[in-house]
Amino acid sequence: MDLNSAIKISASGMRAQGTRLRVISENVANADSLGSVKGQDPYRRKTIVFENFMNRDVNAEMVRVAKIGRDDSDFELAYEPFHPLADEEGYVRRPNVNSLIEMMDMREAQRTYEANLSSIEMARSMLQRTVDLLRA
Amino acid sequence: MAIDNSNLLRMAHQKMNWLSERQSVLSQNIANADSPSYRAQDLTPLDFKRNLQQVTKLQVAKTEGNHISGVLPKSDYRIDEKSQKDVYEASPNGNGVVLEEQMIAVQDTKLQYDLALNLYNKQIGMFRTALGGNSR
Repeated sequence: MDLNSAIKISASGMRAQGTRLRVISENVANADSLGSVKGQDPYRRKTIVFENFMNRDVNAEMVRVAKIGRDDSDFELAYEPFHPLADEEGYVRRPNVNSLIEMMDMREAQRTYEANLSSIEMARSMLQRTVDLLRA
Repeated sequence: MAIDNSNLLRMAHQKMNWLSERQSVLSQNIANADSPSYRAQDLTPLDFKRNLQQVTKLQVAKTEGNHISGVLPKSDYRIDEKSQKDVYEASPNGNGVVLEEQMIAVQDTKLQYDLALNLYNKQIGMFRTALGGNSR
């Protein structure tokens, strides 16, 4: 383990946060996706779980996406009796995406991404300064 | 006389080794800032006395394949077990990484690394002066 592996580990963290951001954008983009025919489920929110695993190459615990799951909470119901997808009582089922939650998730992903980035920057400048010894 | 015979250079070298090791452990923490049930880790602090012993003691020379190596304490960096238990806060998924704490530790590591590196550089500069080069 040295500074190079520090950079690799941070890069794995950035990759994981990037995937997380992708899932979040999918959720936000599909926040209004209803079913295409009557009775079909609307878009179901996706969730992402990370896990740490031992990377023998680097000899450190890196991070990766464990699974991208589905949020099984109930769909939102909107009362729109004239909507083509409305059921007998006049309710339309809408995706269980809460934009507030997605925004908070996005912020957290961004924050962790930045932390990883500055960790890389630190390791890089430490390496750079060591290489600069040659210049003297 | 090899340049590595200077105790100061060797101590700076060891310190830098330890610091780059620590940097990878901290990177690991930051990368795993959202992994469930991951606990932040840290290295055991560098023991000055041991460090000094390693540097100042003479190593028995191995002149034949059958010789056993001397008894110098090995420089091994261990994960501090205590650091994994004392968590400031843990999120609902059991993750115990506080990003701010890690960033400060990263910054601190970088500063100490710069210090060791500057000392190393200075010492080399003094050698150079002694050699009569007028570059510095």
